[in-house]
Amino acid sequence: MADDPNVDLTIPMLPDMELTATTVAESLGVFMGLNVDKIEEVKIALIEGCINAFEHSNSEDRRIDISFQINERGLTVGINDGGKGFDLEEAKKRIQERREKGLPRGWGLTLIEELMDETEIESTEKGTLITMTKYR
Amino acid sequence: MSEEIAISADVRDGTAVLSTKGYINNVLAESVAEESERVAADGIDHIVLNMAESRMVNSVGIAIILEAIEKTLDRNGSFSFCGVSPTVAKTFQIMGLLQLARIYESEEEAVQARGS
Repeated sequence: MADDPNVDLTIPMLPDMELTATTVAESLGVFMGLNVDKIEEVKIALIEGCINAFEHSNSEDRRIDISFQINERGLTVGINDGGKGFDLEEAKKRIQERREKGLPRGWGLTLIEELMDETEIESTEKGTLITMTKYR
Repeated sequence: MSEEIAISADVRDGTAVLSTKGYINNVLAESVAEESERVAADGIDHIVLNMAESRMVNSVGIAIILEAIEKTLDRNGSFSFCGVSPTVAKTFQIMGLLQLARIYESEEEAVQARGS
C-alpha cells in the first residue's frame, strides 16, 4: 500500500549501525506525532535491543531484521536477531546475579522494559524476537 | 553509520568541565574516563560532564562512565552532570547513576555546587 508508513529494515551487526535504526524510529515517531521524550525513549530502547543482538545472538549472517509498525496503540518495533536463541529465565537470573554483585553491565533488557510501555521477548533456536511498543 | 563524536575539557574554579558531542557509546565513554584520569593526575577531582550535545547513550557507555564516577568518588572527589535530556536522565536513574552523581540544570550551577 503506497500510504503504509510501516518500515522494514535490515542492518549489519557493525559498530554504531544501531544509529541507522534510530533515524527510522525518529522519522516515524515524528510522522505519528509522538512527543520528543517518547521518541528518545524508543531510540534508546532500540539501541539496547540492537546491542543485545550484536553481543549475544551468535547469528551466522550477522544481520538484524527490524520492523517498525504504526498501529492504534502506538509505535511497535520488532527486533529479530536470527541467532541461536537463549533461555530468558536463565538470562534474567544472570542479570540479577550481576546486580547483586554490583557489576555495571547487562542492563539492556531492563532498559528496554523500563523505557517502553510493552515488551515481549520470544526466543527459539531460530533467533530472538523482541517486540516493544511505545503508546501514543 | 558513525556520527561525529568529540570531547573537550575546561578547568574552572578547580573543577574540570568535560563536554561531549555525539553518541555516548563505548568509544566516547572511554574518552570521558581517560579525561577524568588525566585531570585527576593534575590534582583535579571535581568533574562536571556536560552532555548538552549528547542526546543518545547506550548502556555500555554508561557502564564505563559509572566506573569513572566510582574512581572519582574513591579519590574523595565529585562527579556531576548537566545538559542531560529527560530520557538520558531516566536511563541514568534506571542504571543507578543518580545514587552516585547529581544532575544540575546548568553548567554554572554544577561547577558552583561541586556535587554537594
